[in-house]
Amino acid sequence: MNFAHRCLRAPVAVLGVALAITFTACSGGGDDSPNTAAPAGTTLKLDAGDVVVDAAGPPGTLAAADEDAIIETLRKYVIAATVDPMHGKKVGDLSAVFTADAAASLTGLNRDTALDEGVPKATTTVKAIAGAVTLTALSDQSGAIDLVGATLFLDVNAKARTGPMRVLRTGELIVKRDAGAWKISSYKLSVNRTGSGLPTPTSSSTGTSTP
Amino acid sequence: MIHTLRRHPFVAATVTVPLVVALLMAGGFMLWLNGVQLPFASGAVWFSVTKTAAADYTPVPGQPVFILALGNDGRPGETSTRGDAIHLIGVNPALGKATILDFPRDTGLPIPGHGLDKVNAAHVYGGAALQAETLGNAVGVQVPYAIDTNFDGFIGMVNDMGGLAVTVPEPMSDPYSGADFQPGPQTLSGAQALAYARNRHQFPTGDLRRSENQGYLILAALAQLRAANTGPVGTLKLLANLGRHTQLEGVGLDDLYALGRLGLSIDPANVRNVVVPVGSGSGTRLTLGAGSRELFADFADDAVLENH
Repeated sequence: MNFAHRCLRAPVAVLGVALAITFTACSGGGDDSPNTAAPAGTTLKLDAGDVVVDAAGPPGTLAAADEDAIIETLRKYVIAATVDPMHGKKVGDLSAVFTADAAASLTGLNRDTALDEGVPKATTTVKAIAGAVTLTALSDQSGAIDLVGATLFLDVNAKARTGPMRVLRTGELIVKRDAGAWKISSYKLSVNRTGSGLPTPTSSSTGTSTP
Repeated sequence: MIHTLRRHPFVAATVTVPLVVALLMAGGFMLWLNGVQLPFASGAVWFSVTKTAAADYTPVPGQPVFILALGNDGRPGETSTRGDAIHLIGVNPALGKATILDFPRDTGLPIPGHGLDKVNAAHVYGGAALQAETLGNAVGVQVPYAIDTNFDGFIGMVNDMGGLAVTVPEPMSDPYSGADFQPGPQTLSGAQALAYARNRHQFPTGDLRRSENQGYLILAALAQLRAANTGPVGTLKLLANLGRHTQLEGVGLDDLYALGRLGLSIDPANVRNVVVPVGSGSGTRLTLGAGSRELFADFADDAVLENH
C-alpha cells in the first residue's frame, strides 16, 4: 500500500468548498477590491483559487471574511518581499505578515529565499502574477479553523537599467490565526531569479522556516 | 541504521504526530475502550497527546524540545494501564539532530507523590502526564508533551500507514508476543508490528533489547513519513487524519503541526537510539546503571549526545 496515498487521501471530511474571488490591483487606478493597493507602477494579480477544508472533526467552513483576510496577507507579503524592493524600497516591518516565530526564522538562506532584497530598481511597471492560490484549511476537532495552507506560484517581471529581471517564487505557506489576524507562520519556498544585477541571478534555493 | 531496524514496533505511532512527530499523544481513552463515543475524536482513537507543561508553555524556536512517547499495556475494557514502552525523545531543531532514550519499564525511579517505584507504575497513578514528570525529573529536563498509545491504537495507526517497512536483522520466533519473522526487509502490518515491538523472551537481555527495538520502530516510522515528502500543506492533511484518531489533552492542532514539522525536519540518520543503562535488581525494580547520570546530563543540555 502506498503510505502517502493512504494518509493524504483524507478519507473523510474533506469539504470541497470552491470559492473563487478575484482581486486585481493595478497601479493608476481601477482597483475596486478592498485589498491593499499595490504601489504605483505595479500590476499585482493574486487571486483565491480552490478552497479545500480537511476536517479533524465535524466539517468546517472557511468563512469568506477569513478567506479574504488570508489573501490580503499574501498580497502584503508579495508587496513587502518583492514589489517594494523592485521599487527601490527596503523590506520594512514584517510583523503584519509573519508571526513572531516565522519572522525570527528569516535569516540566512531563508531570508534570501523569501525576500528579494538587493534587486535592482525597476525602470518599468512591476508585473507580479500569482494566479489562483489554492487554500487548504484544517478544521480542528471542534470545527474551528486556525491553520490554512496556501500554494504559491509567483512570477514577477520588470526591467531595470541592467536589463530584464524575473523572479519565480514557488512553494507552500501556512497562514495561522494570530491574535485576530492571519499571519504566515511557516513556509517552504523556492526562488529562482534571472537577470543581471540580481543577488542570486540563476540559482534556486529553498528556505524552510523552523517549526 | 534505519535499514537495520531490528525489533519492536510500539512507538512508531507516537512519532507520527509529531512527530510525527513528529504528530502527535487519555481519560477519553477509557471511554473509548468501554465503547463510549468520544466527544472529539471522530474515529477510533490511536493515541492521546497530552500537554504536560503549563498551558502557556510554548517551545522556544530553535531550542531543544523533549517529548515522551509511551506505549501502554491497555486492552479493551482495562482502566488501569502501565506505561511499558518508554521513550524520551529530545529534538534539537537548530542542529537537526535528536536522541531517543529508551527506558526499561522496570527501572526504579521516584514518582512524585508515590515514592520509589517502577517507572511504568507512574502511568497507573497519574497517566502519561505523571510519567512524563517522573522521567523529566530523573533526566533533568522539562517534558512538555506526552504521546500515549495502546495495543489497539498502535495497530490501527500502523495499518493506516499501510504498514511499517523494516528490515528484520535476525529470525524472530516468540510465541508470547506472536513475533514470527524471517530476516530481511518486509512491511509489517499493525498486528505484526505490535508483535515485533513486544518480543523480549527470545533475547538474553529481554526488555532492554525490546526497548531498543521499539526505538528503531520510531525511526522506521519517521523514515517512512519523511519519504512521503510531506510539505506544509500535506502536513495539514496528515493532521486532519490524525486529528480524527487522537485524543487531545490541552493541545491544539497548531501545536501538533509544529511538533509534526519538527519531527519531519529530522533525518533519521541524525537520531541516536540509546537504551538507558540499568544496574542490579531482582527484576521487579532495577536501579539506574553506571553512567546513567552522565548520559542524562549529556542528553539534557541540548538533546544531542556528544559523549555517548
